[in-house]
Amino acid sequence: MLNKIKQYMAANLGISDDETVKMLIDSFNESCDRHLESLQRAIRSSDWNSVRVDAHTIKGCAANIGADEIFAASRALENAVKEQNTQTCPALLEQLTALCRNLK
Amino acid sequence: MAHLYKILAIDDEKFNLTLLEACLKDQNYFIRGFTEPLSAVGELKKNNFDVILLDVMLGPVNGFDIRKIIREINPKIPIIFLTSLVDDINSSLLTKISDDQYSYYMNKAFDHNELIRRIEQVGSSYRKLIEADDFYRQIENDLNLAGEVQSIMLPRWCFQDSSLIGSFLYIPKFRVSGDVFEYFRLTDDKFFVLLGDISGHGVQAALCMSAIKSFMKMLISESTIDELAPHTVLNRMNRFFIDELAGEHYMTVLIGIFDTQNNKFTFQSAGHPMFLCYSPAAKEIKDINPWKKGGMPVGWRFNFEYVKDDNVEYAFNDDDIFMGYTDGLLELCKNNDDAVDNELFARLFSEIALEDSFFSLPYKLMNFLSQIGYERANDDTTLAVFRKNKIADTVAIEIISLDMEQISKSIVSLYDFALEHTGNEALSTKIELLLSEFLNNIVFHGYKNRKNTHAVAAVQLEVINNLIKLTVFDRGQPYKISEYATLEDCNEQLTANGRGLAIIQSIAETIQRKHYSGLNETVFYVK
Repeated sequence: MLNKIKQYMAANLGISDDETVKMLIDSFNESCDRHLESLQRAIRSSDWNSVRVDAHTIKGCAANIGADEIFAASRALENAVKEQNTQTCPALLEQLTALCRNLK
Repeated sequence: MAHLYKILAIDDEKFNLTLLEACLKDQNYFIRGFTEPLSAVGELKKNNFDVILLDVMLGPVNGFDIRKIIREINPKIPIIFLTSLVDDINSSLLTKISDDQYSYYMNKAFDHNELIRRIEQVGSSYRKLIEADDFYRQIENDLNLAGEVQSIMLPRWCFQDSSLIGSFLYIPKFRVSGDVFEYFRLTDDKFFVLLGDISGHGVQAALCMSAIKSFMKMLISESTIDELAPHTVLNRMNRFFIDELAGEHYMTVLIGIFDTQNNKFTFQSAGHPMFLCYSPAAKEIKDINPWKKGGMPVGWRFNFEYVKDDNVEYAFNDDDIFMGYTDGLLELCKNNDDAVDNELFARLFSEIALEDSFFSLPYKLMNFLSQIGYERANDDTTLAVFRKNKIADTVAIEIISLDMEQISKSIVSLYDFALEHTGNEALSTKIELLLSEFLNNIVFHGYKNRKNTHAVAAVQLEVINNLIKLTVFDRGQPYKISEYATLEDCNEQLTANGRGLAIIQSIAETIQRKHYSGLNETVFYVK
C-alpha cells in the first residue's frame, strides 16, 4: 500500500522527495490515530453522527493521497451510519484500524 | 516571473492543510492554513489573498456558513470548495456552491496540476477584476474632479453685470459636460454671449468645451468689438475646430453681441436651437429669427464660410427675457420615449416667465418638465436666461457671494435701498436683521456641506407701498417643501437649519420656500 501511495503522490500531487513523502505519511498516520480513537469512543457510546463525521474525515484524507483501501473502508463505515446499518460498525472499524496499522 | 498567489486554506483536518502546503510548495504560492474557520476570517480581514480553499464539512459549522461571513468581508474573492462529499441525484451540493458567482467546486482527491490550473485561473481572474475595479474607481475619482474643475470654469449660476443679468442651469449627463455657456463683457453696455453644445458627451466633449472656452477668452482679449462680428468669430471657431481639434468634433453654437445701449442683439446660430425671447409687455414669445438665417455647426466642413448676411440683428425691449438652451433639453424623455418638443417648451416658458422670479426661470422650467414626466436625460442639458439689467426703481437686486464680508456689504446696500425708498427706518432695520439671519445662518450653513465653489445667492428686494417683498434664490442644501406646505411646515424646516428662525419669524409676515431642480426660492413679506 505504501508504494502505491508514493506512486500516487508522485503522479497526482507532484510530490516525490522522500522527506516530504515521509512527513506526509507521518501526518496522515497521526490523523488516522486521532480519528480511530475518536471512532472507538463514538461507537461505544452509539454517537453515530460522530462516527459519520470521523469516517468522512479519514475518507477525505485517504482520497487525497490515493490510499484506496483506507478510502474504501472509511467510506463503508460512513455509509453504514448513513444507511442505519450501525450493527456493522464495530467490524468495519476493526477492518479500517488494521489497514491504517498496515501503513506504519 | 509569475505572480505570487496568496492562498487562504480552511480545513478542520490538519493533515489536509499539510498536504496542500506540500503540494503548493512552490515559489509562486504563499499559503496560510487554518483549522479554525474564525481565525481564518480574522486573517482575511488583516491581509489580502487571491484565492480561498474551503472545506465543506468543518465540524460544528459548515463551509457555506463561513462563505457568508467571508462575503461580508470580500464579496468577490474566489472560493474553491475542496470536498470529498458525494453529491446527490439533484446536484444539491453543486447548486449550493454555484449560488455564489465566485465559488467553485473541486474534489478533494485532486490532481496537483488540476489544482494549480484552477487556482491560477480563478486567482488571475480575481486580480483582473480588482484591477478593473481600481481602474474604474480611479476614473470615477478623476471624473468627479473633472466635474468640480469644470464647474469652477463656468460662470456663477446667477450673474449681474453692468447692464446684463442672468441665470443658468447646467446638468451634465455624465459628471462632465460638453455644453458651454459664457458671457464676456466687452464694454459696460456690450456683452459677447455664447451658448454651445459640443458633439457627444462625457470627457472628450468636456475637454473640447474647455479648449473652446480658452480659445474664446484669447480671441476676445485680442480683438476689437468690430472683429467680433458673429460670422467672423464663427469662421475663427471653425478653423480652430478643424486645425486644433483634429476635425473629430463639431459644435452647435449661438453667439452674439448683446448691446444694451441700443437694445440690439446681433447674433448668428451655427446649427444651434434658436433662443426664445419672451416679451412681458406683449405676454408672448417672439420669433427672433423669422428668416431662419444661420450656418451649419462649427467643425463640420473646413471650407465652410459663415457670412455677414446670416447674422441677425434683433431689436429688443428693456424687459425682454432671452432663453437659450442646448438640445439635451429637447432630448429629455418620458419613460415611453416621448421627447420634449419645441412647442411644449415654448408654451411652458411663456407661462413661467409671467411670474416675476427671473432668476429661477431655468430651474422652474426643468422642474415642471420633470413633474410632467420628462426626466430621462440623453445628453448634457443647459438652460440659460438673460436680459438687460434694467429694473424698476422700486426693485433692488444683489448677487451675493456667500462669505461673511460679502453678505455684510450686500445687506448694508439693501438696507440703504429700503430706507431710501420707504423712509421707514424700522422697516429697513427689519430687512437688515432678517437678511442677516437668513443668509448667515440658513444659506451659509446650507452650503457648508456642499462642494460648491460657486456658493452664491441672488436677493431681490421689491418695495410695494408700505410692504417689502424679499426673494432669496440659493442653491444650498435643498430641503423640500411641497408647494402646498403650510407656513408651519416651512417654519419647521427652517428651524432645523438655523438658530435665527425666531428672529426671522418675528419679522416676516409670511415665508414661502420652494425648491425647483436644485434651486431654493424663499419669499418673505415684511411690513
